[in-house]
Amino acid sequence: MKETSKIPLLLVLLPIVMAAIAALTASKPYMLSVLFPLIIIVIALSLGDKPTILLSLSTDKNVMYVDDELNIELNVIIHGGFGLLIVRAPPIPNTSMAEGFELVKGNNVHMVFKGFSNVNRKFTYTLRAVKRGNYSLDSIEYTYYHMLGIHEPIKGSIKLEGDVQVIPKIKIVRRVLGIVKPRQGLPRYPPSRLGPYSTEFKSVRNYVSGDPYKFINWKATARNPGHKLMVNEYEREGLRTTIILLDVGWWMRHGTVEENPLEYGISLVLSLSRVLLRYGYNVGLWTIPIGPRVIPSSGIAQYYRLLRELMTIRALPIKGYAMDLALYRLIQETDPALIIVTNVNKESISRLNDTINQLPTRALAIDIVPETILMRNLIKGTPCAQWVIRNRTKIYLALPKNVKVITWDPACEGIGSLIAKISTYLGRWL
Amino acid sequence: MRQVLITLSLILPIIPFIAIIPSSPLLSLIIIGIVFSTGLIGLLINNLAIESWFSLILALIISLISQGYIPFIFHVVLIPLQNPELFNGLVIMIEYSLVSSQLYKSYMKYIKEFGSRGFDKNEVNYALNNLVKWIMSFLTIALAISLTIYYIMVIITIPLVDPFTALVIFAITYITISRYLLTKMRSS
Repeated sequence: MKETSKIPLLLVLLPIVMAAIAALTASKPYMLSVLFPLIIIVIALSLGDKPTILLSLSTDKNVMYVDDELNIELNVIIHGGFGLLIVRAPPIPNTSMAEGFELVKGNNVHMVFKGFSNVNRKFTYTLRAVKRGNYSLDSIEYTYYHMLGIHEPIKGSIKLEGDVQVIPKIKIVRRVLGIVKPRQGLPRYPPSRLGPYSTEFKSVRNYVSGDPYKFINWKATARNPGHKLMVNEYEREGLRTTIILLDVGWWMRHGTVEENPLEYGISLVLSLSRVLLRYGYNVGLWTIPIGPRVIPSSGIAQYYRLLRELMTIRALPIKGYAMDLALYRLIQETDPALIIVTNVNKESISRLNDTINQLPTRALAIDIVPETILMRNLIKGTPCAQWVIRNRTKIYLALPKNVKVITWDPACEGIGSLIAKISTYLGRWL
Repeated sequence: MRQVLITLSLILPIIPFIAIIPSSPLLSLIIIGIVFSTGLIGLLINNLAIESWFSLILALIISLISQGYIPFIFHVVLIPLQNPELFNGLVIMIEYSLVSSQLYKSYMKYIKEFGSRGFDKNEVNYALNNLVKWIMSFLTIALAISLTIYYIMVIITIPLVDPFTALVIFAITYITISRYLLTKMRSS
């Protein structure tokens, strides 16, 4: 863009050179060569006002799923000035939004010529979400170039307030063919100690620290000879507790930014927890080694708690796993069904073993294999043949005996089928 | 507009030398050949301005050694021109081509730069063609105004100002415009 700024310098130099030649040659026609550049400069200066640039952007939705399309409308209004305007609307390169979206229709970069008349243009384009996350629209960047470059390009950006939330793709499983509900009937299985209170009355007992005040039974307290506070006890909701351990080690990034064991693992956690919550389970989430955790609970509110935390999860380069004592205590108290979502390989196996050996319960490990995802990025139309995946039997032998493994190749097997397998395990377990 | 810019940048620099064909046919044809070849080389290396610069320098040298004080001092006219007024007047064409060749360079640079950054090619071409059209229009307007002013200067036989005053007025006007322009370029 510096080429245009050479023109004004050229136009400034030419008259003085021509005036010198005119003086040396004593020739009147050289006045033409003196006047011509000067008149161009005068014209350029008269059109040298800085423009008023108004840019606005609107999106058709703020919350969407991965693979959904986002329609964006960009409005460009320019008053004054004479030249070219380059506009770059979101996603701006090197921002998180650029990683999470791809352009499928139209264009987010535009070049507009501003002549004598005002410009009022509308551009529409479509983005496809490829990765979960909370994305800020960030800004619209622009650069204005004067017709002959008599001033430096005007660069600016307009901050945008909006956000777009991209939710991981989930599979809504309406009915599970496997056995999700425990085989034992009431009252043989113990209700969880951590589920929310139901309205089903259980007994009256002495008040202990931590009991909700609303459960105080005033009549029973008045009748009590020792004048001790008495509270009503209610049955807890929820059949059993399921704790999902989501591995966020670096091996969960194997694959592409959009398709890797972590992204598939998050989709699985959401889909599975939705099913379990629907069947009345308490579902909790821990990320290993470090990261967000969600204390087990039931109901749709718990699903949104899980979703909120899962949106922020990133894979980390980690050195080792450390046991969370709260998780350990919870497992001891509630004897939950423990599901570990991981990518079992030579790097992760020793760290997984360290963690599992410390847990006083059985576990079900979902091994998400990234080989087919990787192969499909290299060779289009790679079939779901097992030759792509290395034999994992040996590596599974290194796992503790209290761990069952389900191998999942997300490129070949759907979440629905996997959930059916998991539910069968859970049914036998409970 | 690309073809228009190429044509103007290639043809305009040779026009002043066509004016010296009657006085020195062989020399003028050689010069035209050299200047035009320079233009073609410039086109290949994407620097059309070299033809205009070469032509301008050559035209000024010819002008200086064929008329005015230098031949008067040395008593030698290297290239005797039949119509020096016409030759000197046509130097404006070289100036026109200088601007158009710079414009061509910018045009090609924009096309290359924005063609590879995800811009819509048709949109970029449309915007750039509009820009070039307007700049060419302004150049033509400036040329017409220059000719008009020059014509007025020629037809007014009674001198309004003496040469020294004219020089002072020009100097003041030039310094004012150039300072204003340079200040504006720096301040933005």
